[in-house]
Amino acid sequence: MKAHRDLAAAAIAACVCALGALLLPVEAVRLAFALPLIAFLPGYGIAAASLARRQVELPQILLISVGLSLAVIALGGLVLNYLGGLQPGSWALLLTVIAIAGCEVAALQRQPATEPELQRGPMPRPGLGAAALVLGGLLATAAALVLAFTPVAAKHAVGYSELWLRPFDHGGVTGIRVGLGNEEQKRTGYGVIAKFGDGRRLITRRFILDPGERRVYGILSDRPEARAPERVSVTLYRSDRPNVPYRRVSGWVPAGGGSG
Amino acid sequence: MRRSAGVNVPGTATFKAMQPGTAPTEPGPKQRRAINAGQSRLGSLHAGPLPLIVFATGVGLLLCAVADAISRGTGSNSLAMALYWSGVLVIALPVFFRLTGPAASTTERLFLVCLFGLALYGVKVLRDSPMFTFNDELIHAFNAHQIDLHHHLFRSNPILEVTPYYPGLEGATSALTQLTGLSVYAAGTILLAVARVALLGALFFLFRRVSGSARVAGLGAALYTCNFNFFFYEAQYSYESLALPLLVVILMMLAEREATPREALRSWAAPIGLAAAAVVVTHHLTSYALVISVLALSLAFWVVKRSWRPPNPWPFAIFTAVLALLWLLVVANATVGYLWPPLRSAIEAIGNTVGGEAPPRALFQTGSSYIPATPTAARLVALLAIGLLTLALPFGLFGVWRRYRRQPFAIVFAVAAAGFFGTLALRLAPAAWETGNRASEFLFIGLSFVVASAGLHRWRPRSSALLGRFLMCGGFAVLLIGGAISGWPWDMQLAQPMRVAAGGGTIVSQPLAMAEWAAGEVRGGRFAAPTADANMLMTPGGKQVSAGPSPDVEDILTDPNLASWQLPLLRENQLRYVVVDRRAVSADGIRGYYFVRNNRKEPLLPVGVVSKFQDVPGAARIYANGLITVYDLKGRE
Repeated sequence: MKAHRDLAAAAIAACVCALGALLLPVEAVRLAFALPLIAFLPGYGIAAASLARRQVELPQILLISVGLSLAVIALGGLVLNYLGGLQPGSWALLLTVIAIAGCEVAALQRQPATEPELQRGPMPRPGLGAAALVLGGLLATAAALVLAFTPVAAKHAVGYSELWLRPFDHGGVTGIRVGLGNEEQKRTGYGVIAKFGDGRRLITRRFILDPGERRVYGILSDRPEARAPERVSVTLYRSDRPNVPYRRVSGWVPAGGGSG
Repeated sequence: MRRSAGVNVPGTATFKAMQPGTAPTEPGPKQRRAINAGQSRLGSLHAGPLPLIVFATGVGLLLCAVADAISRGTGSNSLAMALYWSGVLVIALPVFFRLTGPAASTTERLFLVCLFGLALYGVKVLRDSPMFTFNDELIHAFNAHQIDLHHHLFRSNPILEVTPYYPGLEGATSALTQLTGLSVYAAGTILLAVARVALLGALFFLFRRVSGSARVAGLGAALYTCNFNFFFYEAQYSYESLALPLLVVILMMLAEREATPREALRSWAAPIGLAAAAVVVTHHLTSYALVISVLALSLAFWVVKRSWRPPNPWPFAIFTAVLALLWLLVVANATVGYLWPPLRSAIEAIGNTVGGEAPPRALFQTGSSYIPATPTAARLVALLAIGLLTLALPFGLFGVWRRYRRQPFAIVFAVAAAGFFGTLALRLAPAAWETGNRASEFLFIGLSFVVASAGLHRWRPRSSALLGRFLMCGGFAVLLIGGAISGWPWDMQLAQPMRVAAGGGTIVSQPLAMAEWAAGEVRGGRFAAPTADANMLMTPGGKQVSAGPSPDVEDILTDPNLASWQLPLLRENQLRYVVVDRRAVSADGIRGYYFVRNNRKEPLLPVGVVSKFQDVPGAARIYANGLITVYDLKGRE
């Protein structure tokens, strides 16, 4: 493979990309290493091996490499499924092995006369204007992406508040978790009343939440020895309408000791 | 140049980077002076058309993003729509104009079609960021999440049972998620961007091999973007979005193989076989389309060359058919139960419509009171697009006959082009609409080639040398926008509010809030929910859900009375949690994910659909956000 620079470069790149994708800590950097390994190198190995004796234009080889790489990863999952599972290490190993194996086969098959030339015409030398235009286009695209990912204000969207209740039983310690969320368009004050049984116990809490804010709190059962679940209802009031139940949820506090 | 099948094929033509004049049609002296003059005017800046086109693409995407932001922020349709389509045209028209001209090199044309396809994909990504929002996307993302969690394929999918048995897309996505730690959304989006580039590039090479013309190839590949499903349906995170590009890559390789010397034909066997196997494990319909395409090609080859010997591709058709059948029988036998009912309904619907027993489907019908009608102007553009395609067809077929009738691929393309108009007729039969829609994106490959062969771009009357090109660009624009209008509901072309900025924070829509709550607070259990809520519960909720008519969850959730069969059915199907959503739109897998808006009609189901579960013995009402309530039928246990 030493005599075939493109094959050697592909094989080395596969190893470097695999290691980089596995070891580097930052996701974006790992992506830069993983993407060639996933979307190009295995396909290039297969294309080079298959078409070793053919003169194929470089852009076409590149395109076929991408297509075959997609095929490899579509099928690769099947292989790994029965060889230990789809894990980072197994993916890196599979793709690297395919890329290197393909390059090795290609090196053996290629005749010196049929080694594909990197047919490059004279590349245009971009001037300042061209560079500015391309940069402008990329910046506009980046701005578009930022805008797409940024929530915008929408006064016509009707806000709401959410309330929920989940019982818990941690080794005999029972109670409920109550959660509320402000998905209104403005800061909102809330009152929450939890009623146990027929009202034998009332627990009131007050909150002021900003839009998007959520609050969760727990209430322990005061009857750890209870033999049956106890009914509980939780009602949410808004501070601007304190006498009107706004949301209501209900459930059961588990019996003490985890038995029902 | 080598001769192949009676047509000059530039088999060893060199790709010269960015050099004008390498297209088979050389610019004349007048055109060459114009090109040189243009270059010399910008010569001091060294700016050529490509940087301008890249710039225009970026600006177009930014316009589309602004339009989506306005749509999310105000719900104002008119301004947002105007900006949106302006953005699409800013992306498209420079590309179209350059492709219709003689000056662009082969490499430049290839770059332009790939850039164009990627840019239109970007339009879809901008609309939906930062999460999947299409019905099928949420289903496939669930599968991908399951693979990430369990590191194995073939996990079950509660909504679309057949999808885990075609794990090509999700398995491929796992390569990226496992190696990078990216989310399924990010990995899937990047993966399909690569597939989109492969699709357009392969179309270019395929058309170039068949036509011998880089110009026809570029036009044909650009025309393919005008098919109804290109903007959204083919761009969604769904298994066909990976399988279709692989199919086109295979067709490209078959075309190259056809031009290969006989002693080297075997060199294509492994790549084609590998790609075909990938299609089989990725998408059922595409694998069947591949078999049909290669069989048709084999037949066309025999018609032209009277030979079944290589390079006749029939062995690949047999190989793919055997593989697809094996996969169907051994792994994915649920596919028959999935595909046959709609196909049978389509056949029956065609018979009923033709026989007059059922009225034809009205075009652009909405079927619901909460869906605004498609404006008349939009309908006219869509119909005009069909009209233009119909008009171009005979010219294209004539062009194909005159120049390419000895090319088997060209014959198949011509048949496919005619077949496309048959799929339009299927849209008039209500139950056959979906079949026609799905078939059209395959047949449009042939139609693109045929229309590109019509040669309008070569029309140069004395009064205006550029008239043909301008007309073609105008036609392209109508086809692109008309195709997009036909392929996706008008009211959903733009982004809708799912995450909204308010008071320094971010608030989310009710279905999304409910799904996020379920993801964090509910362990195990299965949910019964309306379609949109069920999809959200799968992704991002990661929950097992049931929705729709089988089991009959949809009737339970819309009936204000608790009939005697309802609770037993829920228990029988182990549906412990019931999500009741009063929004009628919650049954809509396209529209049901967003905020209720105060500037549009939002029909509600009666209160009884919620209150009927209140008195179920042992049931707990565990979540409420106003319009969505979740019950735990085993709350007391």
